[in-house]
Amino acid sequence: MTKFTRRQTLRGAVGLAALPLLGSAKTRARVVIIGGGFGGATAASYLRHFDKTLSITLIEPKKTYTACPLSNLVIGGLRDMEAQTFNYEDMSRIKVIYDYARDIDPVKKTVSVESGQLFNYDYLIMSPGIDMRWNAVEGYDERAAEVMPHAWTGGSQTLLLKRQLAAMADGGTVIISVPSGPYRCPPGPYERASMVAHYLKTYKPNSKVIVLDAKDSFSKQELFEAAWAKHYGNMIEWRGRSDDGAVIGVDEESGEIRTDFETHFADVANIIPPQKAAMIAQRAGLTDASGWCPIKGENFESQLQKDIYVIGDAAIANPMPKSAFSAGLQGKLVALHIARAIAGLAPQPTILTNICYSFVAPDSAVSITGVYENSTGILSPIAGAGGTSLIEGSNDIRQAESEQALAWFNNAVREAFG
Amino acid sequence: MRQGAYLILSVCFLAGCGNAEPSNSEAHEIVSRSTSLALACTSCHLGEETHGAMPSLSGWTSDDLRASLRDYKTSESGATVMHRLMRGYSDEDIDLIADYIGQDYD
Repeated sequence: MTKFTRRQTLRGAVGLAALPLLGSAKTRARVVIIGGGFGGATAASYLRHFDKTLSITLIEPKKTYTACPLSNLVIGGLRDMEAQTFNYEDMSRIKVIYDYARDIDPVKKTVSVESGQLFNYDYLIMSPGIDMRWNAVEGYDERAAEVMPHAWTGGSQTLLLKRQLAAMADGGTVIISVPSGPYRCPPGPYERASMVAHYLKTYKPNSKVIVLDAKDSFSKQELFEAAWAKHYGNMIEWRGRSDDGAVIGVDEESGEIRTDFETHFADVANIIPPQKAAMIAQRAGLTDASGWCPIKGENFESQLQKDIYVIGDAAIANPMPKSAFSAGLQGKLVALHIARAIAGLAPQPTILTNICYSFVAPDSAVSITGVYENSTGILSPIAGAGGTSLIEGSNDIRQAESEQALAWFNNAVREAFG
Repeated sequence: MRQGAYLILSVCFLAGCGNAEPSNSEAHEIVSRSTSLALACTSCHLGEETHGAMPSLSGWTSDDLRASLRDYKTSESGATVMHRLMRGYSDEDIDLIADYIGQDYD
């Protein structure tokens, strides 16, 4: 066991503090961060603690950030949208540029933004999030999304789906279409179904929710299905791929939702389309044929471009899921890696975790956890650790996890936005 | 940002804290490893005050933390998030985390 000595640490003081720099850099290193979500904002917050000499620039187009975690509760009528919004005004010592990153030159190490301004970087952190693959479901494009919302990015899409549910008559049908392959928040669609069902059970009890899924199994499936039966009876029907669940096309004018063998019509259609890393990642040469960004498991540096780190939903970090928890932890670790890199230190292995809570009913949530290591340079799950809430968990345990979910959110946004 | 929002770890490393003296590289690696391990904790346990259902770790000694984390790891029937997470940590890593977070209260 190693005890720290006074020489290695200092009591009290400022909390998370500067890394001890061996042979500290002579010039003030410049770190640019693209994307102010849970990944990018958390990375920015921690960078200033790990190396107080850094110049830190955060490029983010929106002055107000709308968080996706807990946004299903907004749809369920259990939470106000105001509780989901945050800004960057308290981020001291970080220069925030409200603009779209337009291009990255990995050779000259510059980032240009829409206004034309150019930023030089020594290290670049990319946390740009996702783009939808428009027309991967035939006919589902940006225009269709204004009629059949995906509600998979925070803000107006969430509110559009909520308004449509409010306008629907009792006895209506809600269809939720779920993609296969990597997408943001693996258990999110099933929390969505739970929260839609909660709203309908409360206000429109003769209605129905059909989940059309391009997969044959899903995250926390046993827990969700038990909760659906318990709280919502037969209101939610889930159809997997082998039961003709995969949606292949839509028509927002006629309202058609097509699978291989059937055509469905919904009173409210929530189409969650296939996704990919945001466009700026592709323009920077950070994506592979999958549309996502391959990274080195040891430190989240791009496999394709030097001195560019990719975190959050855009990165291929599996077995870590595309979650806000993962993005935030990756942001903190990349901040540490960059502080070490500036000091001339090699990447150091660590243990990583993820927790995803999902609400299944008001005051009732389930969780899935993972523990990972990267000592071989590859992110790998640690056998025997992680896993889900127990299926036989009591109401008290479900309630405790719902309280933890809210507490995690409050912590995560404080870490990210101050 | 609000003063003290990051106080949970209540630890200040050498550089930037005013008394910097270059540490040897082995000690540096241990501090760095401890820091990176503890970063996973702050996602839920941030700051000196408890916010909601996640308790603050402020006031915990290293020995108390070590005992608690080991208990989570070894409890066979435990199924909370902490039980599931701690099963992935070696005793050596639990020591690093406990010493790092608890040092201010030892």
